[in-house]
Amino acid sequence: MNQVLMTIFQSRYKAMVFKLLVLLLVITLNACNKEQEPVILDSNFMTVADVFQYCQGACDKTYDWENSPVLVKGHILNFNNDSIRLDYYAKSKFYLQDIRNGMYIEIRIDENKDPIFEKIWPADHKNLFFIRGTAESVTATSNGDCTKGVVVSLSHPDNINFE
Amino acid sequence: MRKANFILTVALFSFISIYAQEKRNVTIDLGLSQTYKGFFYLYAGVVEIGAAYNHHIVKSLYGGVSFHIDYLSRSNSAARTIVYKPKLNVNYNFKVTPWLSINPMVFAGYSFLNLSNGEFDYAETQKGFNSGAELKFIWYSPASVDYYIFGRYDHIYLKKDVNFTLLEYYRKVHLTSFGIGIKIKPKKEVRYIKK
Repeated sequence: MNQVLMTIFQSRYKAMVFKLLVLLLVITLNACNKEQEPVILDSNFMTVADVFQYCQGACDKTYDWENSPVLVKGHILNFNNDSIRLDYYAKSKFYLQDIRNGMYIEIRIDENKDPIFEKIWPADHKNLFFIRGTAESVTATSNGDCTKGVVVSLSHPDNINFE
Repeated sequence: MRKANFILTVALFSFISIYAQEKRNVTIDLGLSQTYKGFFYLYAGVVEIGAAYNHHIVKSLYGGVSFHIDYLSRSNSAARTIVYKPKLNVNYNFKVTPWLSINPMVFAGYSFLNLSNGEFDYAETQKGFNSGAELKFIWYSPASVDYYIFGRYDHIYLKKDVNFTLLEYYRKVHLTSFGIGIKIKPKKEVRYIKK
């Protein structure tokens, strides 16, 4: 009796193992073959991590994101540090970070520096900022390889909000 | 030629896989985990801990369930991620010598990633299918506990969530871990198979 039960159990186990292997194969193939759909930068506010990853590439190519309007949301990096705040003001820029994984991008203030900083000073470091800007490419060279990255230019206080 | 070599190698290992096969066993392991590329690129993996229950199916083939937890963190930051990985697995025991065996395993499951950043009162959970492979080198001991070292690779494909990411690149999570473990085999249930 025990032997019979064991045989039934083992045959069911074999079937389960086979299904598991098929499932494993399907999952892996599905994940590997999935291609990136085009991303529209100014339809909804994108996370900093998404903008950072999507807006990069090789220096010898031109990308659809270059000089395009972009909506990005994130937290200002080290915003509770007074000396860093002053440094941001002096350099007319600040960094927007993704608190989930630590990635950050530069927000460059082209015009209206004083009104923009006056608008953001009352904010807290926990505030989430929403920025309407333009994605501009910057280049960096390391070990002979030239790559493009992104900075977001901001030109008007109406284009930045926080909550 | 490569295929023939592979078949010959498998045949050789099958030939030398001998003697004691326990009906079931429980493994417990502890490893150092690491993330690669993707969303967690800036994270430092810290530790993985987990356990598995394996049941003998046929010859040297085993199947079972496992549950592992990875703890990932970012240095100089309050960002943390805990990955819960329940999985089904199949593994084959190639007994190379009476005291050593090689145990490759494939597995599939559904993982849960709990992301948080205490500094910003942020927390959310992402989830997705998990598949991967593992290789163990097991040292047999006459006692009811054997010892092993392992290397494990997990690939997690996160469920689509446009609030989390719009990019396929970030939906793929790669985790590896290397560590040590013990295999607990019920002594009374050791079964002997003649090859």
